[in-house]
Amino acid sequence: MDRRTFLKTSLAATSLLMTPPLLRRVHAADPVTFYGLKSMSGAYAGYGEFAEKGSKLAVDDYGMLLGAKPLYVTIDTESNPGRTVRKVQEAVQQQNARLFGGCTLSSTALAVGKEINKAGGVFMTPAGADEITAAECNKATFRWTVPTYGAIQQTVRPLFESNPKAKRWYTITPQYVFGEALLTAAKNLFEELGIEHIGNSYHSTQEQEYSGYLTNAMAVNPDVLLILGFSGNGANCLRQAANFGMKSKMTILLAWTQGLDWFQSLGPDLLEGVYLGAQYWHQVDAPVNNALVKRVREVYGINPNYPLAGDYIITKIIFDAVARAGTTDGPAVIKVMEGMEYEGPTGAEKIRAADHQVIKDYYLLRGKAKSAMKDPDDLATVISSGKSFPEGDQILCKMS
Amino acid sequence: MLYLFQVLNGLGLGMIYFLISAGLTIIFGLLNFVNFAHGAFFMLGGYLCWSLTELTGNFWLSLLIGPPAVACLAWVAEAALIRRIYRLPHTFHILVTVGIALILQETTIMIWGPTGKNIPVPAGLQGVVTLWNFAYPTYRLFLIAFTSLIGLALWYLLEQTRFGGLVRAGSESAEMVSLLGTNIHRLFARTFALGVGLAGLAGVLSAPIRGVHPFMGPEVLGIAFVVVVIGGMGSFTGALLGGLLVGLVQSLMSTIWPEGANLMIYGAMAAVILLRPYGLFGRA
Amino acid sequence: MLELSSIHSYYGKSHILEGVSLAVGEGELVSLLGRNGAGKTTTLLSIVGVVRPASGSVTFAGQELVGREIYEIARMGISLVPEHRGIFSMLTVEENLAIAVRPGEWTLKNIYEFFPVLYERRRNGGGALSGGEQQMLSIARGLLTNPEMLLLDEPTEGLAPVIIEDIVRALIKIKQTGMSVLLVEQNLLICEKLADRHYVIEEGRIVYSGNAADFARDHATVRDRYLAV
Repeated sequence: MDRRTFLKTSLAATSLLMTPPLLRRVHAADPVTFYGLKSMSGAYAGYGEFAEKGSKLAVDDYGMLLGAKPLYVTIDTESNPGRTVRKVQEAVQQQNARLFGGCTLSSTALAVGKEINKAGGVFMTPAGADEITAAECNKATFRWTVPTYGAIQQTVRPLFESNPKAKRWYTITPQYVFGEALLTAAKNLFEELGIEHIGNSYHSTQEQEYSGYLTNAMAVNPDVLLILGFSGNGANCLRQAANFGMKSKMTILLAWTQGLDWFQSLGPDLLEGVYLGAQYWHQVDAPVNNALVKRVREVYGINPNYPLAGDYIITKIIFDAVARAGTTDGPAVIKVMEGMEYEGPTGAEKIRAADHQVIKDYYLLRGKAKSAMKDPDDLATVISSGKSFPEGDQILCKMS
Repeated sequence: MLYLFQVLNGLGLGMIYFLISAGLTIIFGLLNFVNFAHGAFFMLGGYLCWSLTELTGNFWLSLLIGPPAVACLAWVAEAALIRRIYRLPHTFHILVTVGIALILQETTIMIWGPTGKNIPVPAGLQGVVTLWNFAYPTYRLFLIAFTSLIGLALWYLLEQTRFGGLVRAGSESAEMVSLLGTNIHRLFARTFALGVGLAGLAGVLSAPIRGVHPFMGPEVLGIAFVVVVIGGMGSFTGALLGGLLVGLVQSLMSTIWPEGANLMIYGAMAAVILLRPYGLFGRA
Repeated sequence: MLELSSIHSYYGKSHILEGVSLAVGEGELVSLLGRNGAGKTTTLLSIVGVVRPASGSVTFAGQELVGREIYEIARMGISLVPEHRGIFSMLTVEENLAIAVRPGEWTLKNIYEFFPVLYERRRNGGGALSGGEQQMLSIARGLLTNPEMLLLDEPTEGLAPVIIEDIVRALIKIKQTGMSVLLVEQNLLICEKLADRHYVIEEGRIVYSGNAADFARDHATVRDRYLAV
């Protein structure tokens, strides 16, 4: 049975199960249903696997919500925006779905956010593109991830301040909207701090071969190599930089990484001494995080990583907001979420009303030597963390 | 100086591309078969390298075992499936081999998971060789040397042995070779296994540079076809020169015009086809 | 040695051979004559397995050939020198010969003695040879497989008279070694010079069969009825 049939069957089966509750009027005993948009297949299946675990855990561990145990439905994005939008439309129309969370790809998140806004639902996403809480913001969409401004501020600044003699920085940038956003944020900060931006190499997002760009970089003798690519781009770039012996010649910073699972695929030999920006780190000492780590180890036998933690807290936030609002009605839940403060996996977090952006910490980590690791996941230490977001007129979101 | 480095990088890249494309062009030359699963076997080589290196801690073992393992798998695929479709038009070849590629890809995800993996550079080849005031990774120099050796061995096989003579003769007329008493099924099977084995070898060799991930097959397939089109379908020399050309273009472009590095590969292909429609060494 | 029994062969829907029967005895040189399109080449192809007869049987040294793979039949000792010579143009003369070699009396050395011009041209590409040289190469290659029987498809076609004489001389020598030969030709005179027995094929059927003496007597009739254009 192919994925689509399986999904339709499971959605249909779930709807059948839900029909008795749906037929009654909106009543305290209706189970609240959360729709998780996860890339269970396709190029981002690795991410989706953990995101799914996060949401499921949040749902399973949640007690009663509005008088009944909440339900969870997975929608496989197939790493494909077009298909995801159609599935969301189906869920909205056929299952009366209103509460959504997830999406790995920004393109999917943006498309889906518009749909859910039209339907008067609520959507929270960990996707990274700035537009989600800036130019393309809307009433229904909320975002947990720190966007490019904060990622750069919380990595470049502390690194430079701890080593002000390292003035010559070279950037390697994936050439697309997100890469450009990181680069612009970096350039602005370089100007402010008096860092010499001695060169930049763009590369395509499909790039496998970085020897050319790295040779260019080495030719101008930078103090710091700032790699703005992540995932496969970042991995290959870092790996090849290490091959070229660049780790001993300069400091390397990857401003945007996926965290633990990405670190695991590379290993301590590559990561040792490399500075890494991250949205989440399992070793951070915060009440919700400590509880999450304990629970994830119990249930899944692993340490939580960014996809898992992100979708976990997103699911929990929406449920908590529904509980506080006393209803699943979109606008009411949104009103509760705007300004909501809570304890999250990074410590105290807050949802800013102006742009629906969660104000939370971003981390600067440093890769640990293999000999210093206390367990197989002890791949990095936290160097610094903090909250940096555009303020006041710098907030580009104008919500109608 | 910078250009010297780009040239070295280009050579290293080009030799890997040559290895992959050599297999593809030999298969097309003799079997008249378009193998869209070629990239998937490249990927398989890489993953076997990871598994064997994880298991034994010895990269050289995976270099020794990986490519023959991939070749065996190819042999089985040839006997079971490919052999039945030689006679059919190329579109069927593409359909079936794309299917095989997808099966291999999904199987890889099932066995090894959907995320990428890293393979450390083998001990002894780690570190850099210092040339003037630039450092060049030792492993990449090894790669250039080793692939050159393989290239020489391939040349010898094709030009100086009876097997090579039969492969070259067969690419002109398989029927005539058959009429001279050669078991054409065995010849085809061996050639297919050889071609695919080369892709597997390329996968093992490039794993320490690029890691492995389940979608690396299609990525490399595109380049392989560009190389083969530039060099001429069925031409060994074409695969070599085409591979080096593409490697050099990619490398030099990243200094001159980085955004266009990939685009220029296709630009080079277009230029070659306009001047010589059958590729540099292709036959009419 | 070789016996065809009522062979019917098709190209697609065209019924080319409509019940061809003929035989070649050991050590004989037998000719098969006919116009263009009469079915000469198809007959040879039906023997070596390139064309599979729809019905009838081909036996060679008592073994049935129909249904076997081309290379199987070749290994049983039948070598075809095809109509367009089948030279591998991208291989050298020597390479063309080398890949054909099978154990037996004919070796690369004595082939070069037999065809000195091939020795001179041994490093040239197959495609660079003249028509006559290619024909000699094709015959030489066939001999190097050390067959029991040689099938020749119009070996003198398109060649200058001087070259044709060379070919004929070579064929006489080959015959003298005791090789069994089935020679397909349009040229009456050559067949008379070489063959022990003759067949004539027209529109897929054997319409004449006779030995050298018969043939000498029927020369004019055969020529006018079956070979005139």
